[in-house]
Amino acid sequence: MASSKAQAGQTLWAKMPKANAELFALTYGSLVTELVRDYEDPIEVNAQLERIGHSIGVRCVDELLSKADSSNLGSAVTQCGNLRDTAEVVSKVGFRMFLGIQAEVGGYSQDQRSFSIYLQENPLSTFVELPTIGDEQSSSSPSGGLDDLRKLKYSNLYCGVIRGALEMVNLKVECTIVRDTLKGDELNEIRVELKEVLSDGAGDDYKEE
Amino acid sequence: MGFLHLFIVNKSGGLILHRSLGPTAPKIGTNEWLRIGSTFHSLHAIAAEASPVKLPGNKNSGEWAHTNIARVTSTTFVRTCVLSFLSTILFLLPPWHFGFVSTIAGADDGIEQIEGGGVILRCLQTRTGIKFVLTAEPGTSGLDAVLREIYVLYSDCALKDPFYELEMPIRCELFTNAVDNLIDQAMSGGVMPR
Repeated sequence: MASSKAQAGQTLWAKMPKANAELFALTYGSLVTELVRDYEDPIEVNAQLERIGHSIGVRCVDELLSKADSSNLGSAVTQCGNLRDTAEVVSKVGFRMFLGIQAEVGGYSQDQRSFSIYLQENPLSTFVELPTIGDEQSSSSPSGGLDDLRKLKYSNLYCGVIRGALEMVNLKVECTIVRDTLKGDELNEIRVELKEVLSDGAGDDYKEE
Repeated sequence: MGFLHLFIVNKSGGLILHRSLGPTAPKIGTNEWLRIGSTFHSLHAIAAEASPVKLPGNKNSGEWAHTNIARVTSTTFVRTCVLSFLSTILFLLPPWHFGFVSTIAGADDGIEQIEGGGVILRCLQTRTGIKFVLTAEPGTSGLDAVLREIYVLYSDCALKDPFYELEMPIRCELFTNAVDNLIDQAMSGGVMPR
């Protein structure tokens, strides 16, 4: 099953129009620095990145679903019976299709309600170095914008995208970046936690007693 | 043979696009379209509720049902409506069927096809709750393929327009032109999956 999803991701990636990776990384970089300048507080910047990601996610989920359908990859991709399936699709198909990168999934919790996505490479942060603590002490930047950038989650966009995309298919999740190569970890880890499964159709109030 | 109309209904039952696809399509006013859209949405919801069979491809099925912590509704309708609509369907539209053996993509609950003497109606409900509905003259083939391609066009043209707001009527020339091209293509030789 897992390999069929990886294959589906590969097929879809092959059909996507490609953009220059440097342009992509630099565009994102300028977006983040602009936000840092505007909001100054890294926590607020994280929230804004998440919000932007959410708007992207609610739109791009349809692209994944429609293109999987029209490429006859059908039910393996678009029908998930449980969170494990969903995790596989997000990492193997989603990340592959939109970013062309290999994402691993694992770290399922006991109750199968949360999982982690591991990214070896992160196309968003190709050229990024977060200012280190040493720099911070020596810097005399009066703006204060740079001094606690350690709290900045540079790739928080991913969290928003995943949350937005899954929200559209009735899964309410919470995502956090728990490990980040920019902060010295050996890989990037995004933790996804299922909060609630929303259901369509008539509410219980309207059902026959 | 030929396509008649396309309409798209958002997940709360609002009509977001209607378009006539051929010279033989009857002229229908916008107000009527709004009514048809929301009526179809309701019928679709009732059909999904009324169906005794729950399939793995249905929206609220699978292991998800057991992992539910809370049920939250996104579509609600009044029960009296349900009853009156149900009786309408059962008595006025005998030749319809639920698609138990599904060939169409997306979530396979609710109405997939309605066949009448002079019209067939085919519906693609996406996992995200949008319904793409195509009507055509009986005998027209390739409705499924066209619907799937329209979904792709929607995700490519409408959703990527930064000024398009989700759930709102689609006023996007790129999309409508692409749909027109697709229909021309389908009429002249069938739609090839990409």
